[in-house]
Amino acid sequence: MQCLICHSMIRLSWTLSYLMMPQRSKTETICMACQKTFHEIDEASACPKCGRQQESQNVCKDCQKWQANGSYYYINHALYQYDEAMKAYMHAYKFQGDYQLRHVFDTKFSQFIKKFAVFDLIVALPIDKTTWTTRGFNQVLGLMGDLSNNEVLYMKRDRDEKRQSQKKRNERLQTGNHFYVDVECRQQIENKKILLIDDVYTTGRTLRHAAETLYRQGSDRVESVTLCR
Amino acid sequence: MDKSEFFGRLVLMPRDWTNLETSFKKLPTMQIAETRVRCLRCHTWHDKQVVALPRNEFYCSACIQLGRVSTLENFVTLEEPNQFEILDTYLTWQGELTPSQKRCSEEVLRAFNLSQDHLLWAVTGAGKTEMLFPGINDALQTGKRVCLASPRVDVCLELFPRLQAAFQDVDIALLHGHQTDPYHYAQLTIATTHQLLRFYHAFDVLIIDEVDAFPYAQNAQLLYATKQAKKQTGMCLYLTATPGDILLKKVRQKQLGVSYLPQRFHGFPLPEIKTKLVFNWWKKVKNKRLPKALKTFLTNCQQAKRQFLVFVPHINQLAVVLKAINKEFPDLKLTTVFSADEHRLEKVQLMRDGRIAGLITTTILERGVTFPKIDVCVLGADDGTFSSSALVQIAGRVGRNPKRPTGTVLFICNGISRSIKQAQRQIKFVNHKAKEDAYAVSNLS
Ligand SMILES: [Zn+2]
Ligand SMILES: [Zn+2]
Ligand SMILES: [Zn+2]
Repeated sequence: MQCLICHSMIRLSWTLSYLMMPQRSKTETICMACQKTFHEIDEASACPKCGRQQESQNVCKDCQKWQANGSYYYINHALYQYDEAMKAYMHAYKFQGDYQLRHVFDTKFSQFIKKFAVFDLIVALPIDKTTWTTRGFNQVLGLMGDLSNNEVLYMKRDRDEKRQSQKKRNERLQTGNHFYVDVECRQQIENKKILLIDDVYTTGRTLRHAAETLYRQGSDRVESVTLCR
Repeated sequence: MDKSEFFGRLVLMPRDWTNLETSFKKLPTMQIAETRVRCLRCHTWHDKQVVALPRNEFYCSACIQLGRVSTLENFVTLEEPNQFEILDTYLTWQGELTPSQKRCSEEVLRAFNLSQDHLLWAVTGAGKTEMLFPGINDALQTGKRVCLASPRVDVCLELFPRLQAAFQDVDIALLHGHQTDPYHYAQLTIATTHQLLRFYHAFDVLIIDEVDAFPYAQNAQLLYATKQAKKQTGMCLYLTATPGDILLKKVRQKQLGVSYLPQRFHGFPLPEIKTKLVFNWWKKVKNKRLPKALKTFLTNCQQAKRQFLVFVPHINQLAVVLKAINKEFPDLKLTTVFSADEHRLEKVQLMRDGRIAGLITTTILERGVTFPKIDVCVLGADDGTFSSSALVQIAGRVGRNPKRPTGTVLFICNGISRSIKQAQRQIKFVNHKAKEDAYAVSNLS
């Protein structure tokens, strides 16, 4: 088996741990050296609102700002730190479009998502039509491995942007929010606890737009899980 | 996008892209077979499962650094029109060639003219680039599109200013992976061989430098890239100091013309390789004992105050060999270096300044890095990491200075490998050629 990142051969050593957990060793997709470049977030010293790695468990500055203007409940959980190694990975996976690289994290990430079993629905953030014809895949769905997604959120096409001006005022206040819930899916999300899934939490803006959209359509509670923060 | 950017190029465009002009040719990006797909840019086969995208699309992961090829796109190309401005002067270089350089240079020019594939086999330090100038000049004057390609970025970077100085008025495009400048259409292009994959029937004259810098497997891909990049009526000139099996076979079968420049500019022969069989040399060194042959080699260097290079096959052997030598020769100042070494440049400089006696290394260092009067020892020369061309290059480090045109090249090995035999044979052959009438072009059999 070749490491998906550095292409060196992954040596399956016949150590005790291999003999005890052969399945686990078989699913390694990257070598030890590459694994070490990524850093998991330690919940004990992460922001409880956005999952950012920091020194303490206090709410971080960014989240304090969000709290000041926001009126609804929303928190994010993240698995890895969004550091140099992770940025390089995202570049190769998402922007160069090397879809195989989803396997670097899909097992771990889907296991992480499964921890949030109290939620009724798992909803991956969608991508727009243009991305489908250029990138050809939704990077979030790729990372979710064998977990199934509930397709209730959609992305408005860029062209619709112009028509914004013709919309009602309260809709216009939502500028920049490109998400909508398909009419037929409304029942599915009403009074439900929804877990949004995304690849990266950067400013939190996109995820909050998605959460708002779901709340407006009657969801009971929305949280999110991202691969990195 | 300017139309000229499509001339002789494979440009990736969305599948639904259309242009009213009919001269634009759309080509498929991938060949779809039962269980596999093949990238039509780099020619790599992939398992469908591995490179599948959702919705029954596929992509190529092998050449993704050049921008992803997938079934979501088509290649779009325009036939190479040779639409170049006619200049008053092309070659502005005014240097002189030695008689044997001149002979090779004329043979190269003739191969360009006849559009026949050709091999220029010149020993390291023979002044290859200058020999190309008259031929390139002639090709440019007759409106041909010319490319000079090398597998190595550093070689391209070194060639660019030299060619620009020799052809001052000519627009030269430099293409490599670490670059941010956008591509532009030019009559003369310098590119890494990897970049050739983006061309399609573009060049009348394609010159490949250091063809054998890569092992055999990658060579097949390189030959494919070459075939794609040159026009069907075009030709290819291979430059090398150490031709590999593929090229030599073609020469023997008379599919490839050949020019030899067996002489170094100082006229002395290449030092021949001495081998010493030492069974289990690595075990000895690990136990901090040096093989007798290495001890003698180092003693000789030390007494004559000559600098030396000791090559080892693997990076993790460097420190072990250093320890063993330090124990046996505590007064000898030396250090280790490898290609990704953070302090590589500083260490090479120490060596150049004569502040250390020697380097233990895994790499032949940069081209152009020469130490005037050194001896060389290769530990484990039979290791698979040393190709025959690498071994010839290593031997070629010795005897470059006219003040000391000879030197010791010692291979310490468990056995005589095929690569060692080939390297010895090539050096003997070249030296024999040099002694012979240098003007005769003979076959290799
Ligand atoms: Zn790796
Ligand atoms: Zn926070
Ligand atoms: Zn390819």
